[in-house]
Amino acid sequence: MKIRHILAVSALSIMASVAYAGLTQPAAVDVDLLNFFAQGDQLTARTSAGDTEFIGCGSRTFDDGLGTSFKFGFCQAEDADGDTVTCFTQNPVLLDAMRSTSDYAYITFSWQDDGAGGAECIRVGHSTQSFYLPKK
Amino acid sequence: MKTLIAIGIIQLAAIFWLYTRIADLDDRLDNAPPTPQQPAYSHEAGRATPSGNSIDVGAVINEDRLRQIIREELVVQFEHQSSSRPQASRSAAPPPVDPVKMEARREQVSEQLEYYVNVGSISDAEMQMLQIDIAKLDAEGRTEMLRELTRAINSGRLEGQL
Repeated sequence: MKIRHILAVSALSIMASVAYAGLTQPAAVDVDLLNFFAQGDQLTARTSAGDTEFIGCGSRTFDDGLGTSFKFGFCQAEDADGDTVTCFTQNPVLLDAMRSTSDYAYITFSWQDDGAGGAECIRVGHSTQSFYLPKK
Repeated sequence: MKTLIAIGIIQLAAIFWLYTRIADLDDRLDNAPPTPQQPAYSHEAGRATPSGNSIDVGAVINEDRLRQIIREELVVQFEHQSSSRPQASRSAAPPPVDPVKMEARREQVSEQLEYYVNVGSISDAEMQMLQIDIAKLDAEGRTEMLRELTRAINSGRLEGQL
């Protein structure tokens, strides 16, 4: 029994040592101001040559002191061309989606423009895939 | 490649050493005498354990009584949750506040935002303070101010992050 365990652990160990390769698929941040759409993965944004690229979502929850709470979420991004956007939402479903974004995820979101730059988020998506993870 | 093989061999050696250590400890634990401090309760309440430790029958809670207590606690918890549920559902709609006061608050937040737009930037701390003030507005005011805030950021008039 012990020998079987040792062999299994050894095999796994050797496999782990050589498992360096794999598909990578960096997605640079792109903010499309014509179609009100942004996308990109966090690692590519963070490790980009420029110092302005970023993408992400967040949420805020406040106790308003009146026995109720106020929650809103937001997504924001800026691409290499300097196109930038910040949208917000109070929609609980979109808020949940924003909160469930994971490390290294690819993020995409859309917004509705009120014609004066006021942007309300109407879509949030994220994807956690091995090809977005950093290479060790 | 040679480095990988070397690392692999070192890992194997380390794993083997750890495994033998664990196996050794397992054997020692198996052979160790039972500790007298651990009162292992038998399934049936009030009965002494096979290890021979005597347990005060009065101190042992009967299993049926334990189940009853848990049931009672669950009922109390459920009732508590039921009574607090309407409170939670109200969280989206703040209670009505004096319209005059609310208008004054909204004006104040609007002025704050205008101030930061004139400065051209807002720090993280200032942004958080502004958001706290926005949270004190009514639903309509909150949406309006958030929209105004994103307008300012997206147009480049205000540099800052939500």
